[in-house]
Amino acid sequence: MSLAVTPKRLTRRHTRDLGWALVLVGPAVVLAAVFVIWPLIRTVYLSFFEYSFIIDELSFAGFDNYISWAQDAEMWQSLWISVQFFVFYVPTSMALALALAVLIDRLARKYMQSIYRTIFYFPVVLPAAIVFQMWLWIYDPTLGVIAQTGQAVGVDTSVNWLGNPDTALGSLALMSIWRLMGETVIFFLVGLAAIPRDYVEAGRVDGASEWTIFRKIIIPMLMPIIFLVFILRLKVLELINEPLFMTEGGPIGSTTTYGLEAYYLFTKEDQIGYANTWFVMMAIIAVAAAVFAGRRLKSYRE
Amino acid sequence: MARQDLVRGEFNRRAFLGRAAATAAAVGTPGLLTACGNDDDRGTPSSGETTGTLRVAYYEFIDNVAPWLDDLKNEFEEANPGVTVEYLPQAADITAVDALVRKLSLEAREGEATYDLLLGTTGFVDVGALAKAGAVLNLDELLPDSYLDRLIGSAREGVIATDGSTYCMPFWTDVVGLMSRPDMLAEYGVDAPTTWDELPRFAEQLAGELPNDTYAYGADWAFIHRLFYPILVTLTDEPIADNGTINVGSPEGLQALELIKQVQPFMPPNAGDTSSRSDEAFQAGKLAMATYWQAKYQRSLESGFEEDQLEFGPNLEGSHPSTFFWDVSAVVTTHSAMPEVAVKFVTDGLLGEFGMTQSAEVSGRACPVTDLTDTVELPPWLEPAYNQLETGVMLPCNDAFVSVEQPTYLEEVGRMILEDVSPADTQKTLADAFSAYEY
Repeated sequence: MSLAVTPKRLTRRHTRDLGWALVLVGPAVVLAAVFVIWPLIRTVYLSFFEYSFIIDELSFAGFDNYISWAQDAEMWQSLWISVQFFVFYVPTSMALALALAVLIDRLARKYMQSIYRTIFYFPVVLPAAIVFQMWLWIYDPTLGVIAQTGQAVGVDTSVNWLGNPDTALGSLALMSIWRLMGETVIFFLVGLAAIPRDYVEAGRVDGASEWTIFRKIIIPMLMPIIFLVFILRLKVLELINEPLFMTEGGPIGSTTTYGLEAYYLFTKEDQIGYANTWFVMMAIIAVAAAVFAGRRLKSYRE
Repeated sequence: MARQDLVRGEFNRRAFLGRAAATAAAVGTPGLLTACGNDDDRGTPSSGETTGTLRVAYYEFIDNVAPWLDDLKNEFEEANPGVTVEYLPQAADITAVDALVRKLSLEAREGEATYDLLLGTTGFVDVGALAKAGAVLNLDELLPDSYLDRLIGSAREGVIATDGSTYCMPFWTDVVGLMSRPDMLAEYGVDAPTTWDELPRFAEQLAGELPNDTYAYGADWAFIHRLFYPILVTLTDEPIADNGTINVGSPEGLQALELIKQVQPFMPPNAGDTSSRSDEAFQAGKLAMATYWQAKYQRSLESGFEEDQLEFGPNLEGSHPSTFFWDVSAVVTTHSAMPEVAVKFVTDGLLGEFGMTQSAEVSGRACPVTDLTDTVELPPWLEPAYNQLETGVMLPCNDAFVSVEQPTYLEEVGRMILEDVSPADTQKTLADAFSAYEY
């Protein structure tokens, strides 16, 4: 039998396989359309309207919501709080995670690497509500771990970490760093594993210090991973859960992030259309930040 | 051909795709059928049914304090043949007002009702907002005179909404008083204060004696109804302004704010959190006195204190004795199929002999009815709280608390405490915000 395949047979087989492929990816496409694409379209659509769920009246507002957004002092205030959180949280968590990843990677015994990977990843898999409740107790100025430890050693640590506007946001960031650092460590470990050992060995042979090797070889080769982590962490700009659960945006609005303010517009103030405007603008800001970071990465690599 | 290929262990793309598609269909089809299924075979509910299933929902805290609900259900079913009571515990708590208003409003709009009766509402928290949104039934035509005549006067007045109608049925009350540790006070030679004027002096005196991690006085100062209003009602006979908001702009309002600022330094550092941290400190033995309602006293008893270590006394006095209390009530959903039976569950069930006895002895709640002590022997610690109901004051049944009062108060009194803003400036900001409220 000839092994040659005629074009007519190839097209029929190709079409059949394509059909099966569509059948298999169809459910995922349908789910994405229903739960991602349609809500996205609806969000953008409603951002051009004034809508209250209770009154159930939709009135076209044009760009009024967007103009109001730009002129809203509370928007700028909450955005500034989100940016502060981002600036504190992202570099700190990435630096700590990178340091941990390098240390774990240097461990001679592979089973020790597995143990430490598990230890640091454990907080990531804990349910968020448990983490929040645990840290509420840690931070409690009378009954919490920090306060009790301070009492035991004779140091006054009855600081109201979450009730003081100067420390509340940082306290939330610290908790988030603890909670999600394991995930970043894993990313960096993957990146470190992909670096050819020859480059590092060559550096050592040439007499470079470990710090120089880290700066000149490891960091540049980790740049794609660093960029990926940065993009993933842009999500904190819309932070809602931590301030909602732990401080309800207080004290005196010091932890009312952009995401939380938008959430309150949606749930408490019933301004559905205006809240959607906030969400749309946040998406635009996040995309702009990602594009900017991408261009910086590109120019760095060039 | 495909099966033979698989048996021989050779990978055949066609066979794989076919089997993968069959597996996906087998997994997805039951899910799709389940989602399309409708387990509600009630059909369109008709109003005024007297037999059938009465669906009673309740907030989470009701579940925690009333373990006798199943017994009540059995008793009610026995007394009302043809009626089956189905309990639907709600995961949300009373602070999720927005979600509740949205849910019940949508149901009212669609002509549906997930449940007939909701237990655990409070007039000034969620009932006002629900009534305004048209999400609950007007009970004027349904409430029997026998029930209304039983209600203590102040409780009866407090459930009338701004539009003059009644939308809820109180069955419990929470009364604010002063919890204290007489053993701790005796140890340091300090008496419990009886007036608000005495409180700062007593707190300062006691604070000087206590260890570093123990505090003299506590209260949820960030909540307008947990400290400010209990102070205000003892200073003035007009605690409510004409527009139905708390009369924060009065001279007595300023007095109350100044007192709060004066005593806050003697409280636990996180007393201003929105999670009853003073209560936690009291249960942990780190607090000598606290302004709370009687249910918190009962929680402290349950946390391990002996009865002689705790005391629950009346609210501190101002120019006259008074206290703030609120009802725990029930609402009937707009499209309930059994509104009369739902009302009866409250009037005859919760406020029947069994319900009232269990409420007092197990749940630590007094029912706001005049004949309570004819039927039930109140625990000694609960009796003073019940006796204060006649002179006590409620908050009006409107949505001012959730829409204006509490959010503004939380922010501005937070600034007063944390940023050292003067009470006078705080009062002005609050008064401006409250005066703009309209139902």
